[in-house]
Amino acid sequence: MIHRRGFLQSALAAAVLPSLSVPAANAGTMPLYKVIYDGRFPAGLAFAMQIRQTGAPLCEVQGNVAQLWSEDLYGRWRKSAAPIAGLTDHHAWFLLDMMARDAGMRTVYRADHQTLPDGRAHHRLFGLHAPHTGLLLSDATAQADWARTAADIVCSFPRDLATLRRAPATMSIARRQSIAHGTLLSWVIASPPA
Amino acid sequence: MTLPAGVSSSDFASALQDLANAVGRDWVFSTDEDLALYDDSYTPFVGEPELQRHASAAVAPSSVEQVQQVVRIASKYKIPLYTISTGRNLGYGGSAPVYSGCMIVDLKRMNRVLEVNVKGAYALIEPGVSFMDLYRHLEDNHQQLMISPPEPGWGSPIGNALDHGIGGVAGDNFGMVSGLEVVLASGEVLRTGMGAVNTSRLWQNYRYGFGPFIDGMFSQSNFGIVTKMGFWLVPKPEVQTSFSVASFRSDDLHAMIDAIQLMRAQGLLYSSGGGSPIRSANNNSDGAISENIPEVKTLLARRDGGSSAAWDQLGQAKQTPVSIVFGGIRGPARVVAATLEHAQSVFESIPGTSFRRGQAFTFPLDIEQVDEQEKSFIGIPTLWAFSRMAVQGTSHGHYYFSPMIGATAEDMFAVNNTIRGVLLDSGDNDLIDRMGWRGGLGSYPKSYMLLYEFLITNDIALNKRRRDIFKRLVDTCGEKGWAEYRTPPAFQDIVMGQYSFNDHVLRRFHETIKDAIDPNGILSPGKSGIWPRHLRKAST
Repeated sequence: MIHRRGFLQSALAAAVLPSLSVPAANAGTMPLYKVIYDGRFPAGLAFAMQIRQTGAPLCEVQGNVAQLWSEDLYGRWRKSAAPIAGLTDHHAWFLLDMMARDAGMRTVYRADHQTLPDGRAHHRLFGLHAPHTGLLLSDATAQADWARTAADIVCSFPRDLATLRRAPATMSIARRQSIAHGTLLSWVIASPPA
Repeated sequence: MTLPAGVSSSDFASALQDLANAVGRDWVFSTDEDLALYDDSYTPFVGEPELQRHASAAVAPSSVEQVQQVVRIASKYKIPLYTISTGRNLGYGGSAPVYSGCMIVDLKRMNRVLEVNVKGAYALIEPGVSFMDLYRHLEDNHQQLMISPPEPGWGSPIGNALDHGIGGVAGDNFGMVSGLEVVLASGEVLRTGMGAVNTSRLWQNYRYGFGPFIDGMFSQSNFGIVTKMGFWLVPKPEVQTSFSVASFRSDDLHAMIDAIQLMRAQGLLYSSGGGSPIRSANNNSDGAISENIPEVKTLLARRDGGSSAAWDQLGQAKQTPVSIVFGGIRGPARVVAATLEHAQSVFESIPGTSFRRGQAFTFPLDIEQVDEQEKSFIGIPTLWAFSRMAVQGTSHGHYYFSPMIGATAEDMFAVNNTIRGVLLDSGDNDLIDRMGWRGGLGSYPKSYMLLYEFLITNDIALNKRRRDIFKRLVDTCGEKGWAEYRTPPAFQDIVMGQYSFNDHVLRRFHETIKDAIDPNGILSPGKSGIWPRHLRKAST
C-alpha cells in the first residue's frame, strides 16, 4: 500500500542530528534494511568496512543492481517500505531511487563525492541532513577518510527525519544537475517525513 | 512552478483545490521537490533547462471514477493533462510531459490485477500494475502463463503496450491487447470491442466486437486515458529454445533471412532476427563492447561500407561470422524437437552455413539455472538491461533512434549504408565508432527494428550536435521509407512529419479526431505530434 507521505511528498524540518561520532545503531537511528556499496571502488570498500562495525546488513554490488532488485528489494518493498542507504555510482543510485518510489520511498539525503585531479575530494550535499555533516565531509579529504565519514553519516541517520533540516540545495536540484564522471554518491532512501 | 499556458494562478489554485476534493489532498502534488520526480531523467536537454519539459502539478487518482473527475476538472479550467502509468519509459521520454505545464495524471495507484483466466490465457489489469507485479501474481497463484516483459522489466504492461513497446515473450505487446477501458475527454467511460456489450462475457476473448476496431486509436495517442486493458498471455510451454545459423559469406544473409522469415510466417517461430557479427564487432553501445578491430573501423569508414569480399575475408581471418540469423521456438517438447530438425534441414540447403542450437529451457523452470540476461525471454522481469547500459559510462542516460526496416538483407545493408553516410557527413567519429553496423531485431513478425543508442553527456554543445544528427537521420531515413516506430517527445513532431503521404493526411486525420473528441485539447497535447487546434502552431 502506497501512502501519501511516501508516494511523493517531502517536507522541511529544523533540528540537528545529535551526534555523528558514534555510528552504532540505536533506538533513535533509522533501521536500514540494507546498506549497499560498490566494491569496485576503494572508497566503497572503506565505506563497507566502516558500516560493518555497526552491524548493519551489507550488500555489495558491482555497478549492477538487477539481481538485488529482482531477488530481494522488490519482494521486501512489496510488503512495506524499508529504508536503504549506500555508496554507489550515479547509475546504481538512480535505479534504486526510482525503484524505491514504487514502495513510497525516495532519496531523502544524498552526498556527491567527486575526486579532484589533485586527489582531494569535493563533497556536495542535498536533501535532509544535519548542519555539520558537510563540515565533517569537508574535513575528510583522503578517500578512505571521507568514505568512512560518509558511512557514519548514513548509519547515524535519525529515525525521525523531522529532526533534520533541509540543505540549502534540495533534492530537486540534485536530480537536475549534471554529474561529473567518476563521482560517487552516498545516500539514504526512506519514506520522507509527512 | 511551471503554470499551464493561459491558466491564471487563481484558476490553477482553484483547480488544485477541486482536485484535492476529488482524490484527496494527499494525492495532489505541486511542490518543486515533488515535481522533479516527474522530469525526464534521460532528457536530451541536460544543462539546457529552457528546453526541458516540466509538469505544473501531478494528481494520482485511485479509481476510474476519480480519473473521470480529474478529466472533468481539467476540462473546466482548461488545464492540459499528461497521463503516465508507472512513469518509466526511459529513453522515450520518461514521465515528463510533451508540453510543459501539463498536469501529470499518475496512475501508479491503480495497481490491481483484476482478472486472470488461465483457460482463456488472458488477464485484465490496471495501468499501475508493473510487469513484476503481474509476474508475481501469476507465480504466487501457480497460474501457468507467461508475461512479455521488455528490458528493463520494471514498467507497466499497459504503458509499454500503449507505446508500442516490445517484450521478450510476445514481441509486439500491443498485438496481445484485447479490450480497453478508456476515460474520454468528456469524462465518459468507453469500453472497446466486446466490452461495449452490457454484461459482456467475452471482453478479453474477442477483440473486435462490432463496427470499427478502435483499440489502436488509444496507442501512442492522446484520445483518452486507458484505465483497464486486457492482455492475451502465453501459456507456459514444455520447452523454449532458440537456434542460430552462421555463415562466413555476406551474400548468404539474403537467403538466410528469407528462410528464417518464412519459418516465422509459417508460425513455427515466435521470434527471429539477423545481422553481421563481423560488421558489428566494433559496436560500442547498448552494452556491446567494441572488439577494436582496426580493419572493421577502416571498412566502416568507407562510404560504400566495404565490399562483401573484404568483409568475408576479414570474417575468416578473425573467425567471426559474417552473416547470422536466429530464431526462437516454444511449445510441446516433441513439436520443438521437430521444428529444430526442420530448421536444420532448411539451412542445410544454404551451403556453408552452420547450425547451432541454443539453450533449452524446460518448464517448470529452475530459476537458479537461468542467466539474468535470458530472463525476459522466458517471461521473467529483470533489470539486466541497465547492467549492459552501465558500461557505457554516462550518468544521463540515452535516447534511441529506432527505425523500422523490412525483414530482408537488402534493407539491412541499405539502411546501414544510409545511416553510415549521415554519420560520416557529421564527422562525429565517436558516434561512428559506437554505432558501427546494426543487425535487425524481429520483435514484430514482418519487419526488423534497429536500435541506435544516443548517449546524453554533460557537454551541452555535443548534445545539441547529436540532436541535429538525430534529426538528419530521421529525415534521411524517412526519405527512403524507413520511419521510426517510437521516439522521445523532443522528436515526436519530426517523426510524425515523416508520415507525410498525401500531404500529411494521417496527421490531419488525427487532428480531426482530436478536435472532435477533445475540443478543449486537455489530453496529453503534442503526444505523437498530435496537437489540439489551439496549440498547433506550437508544434512547428
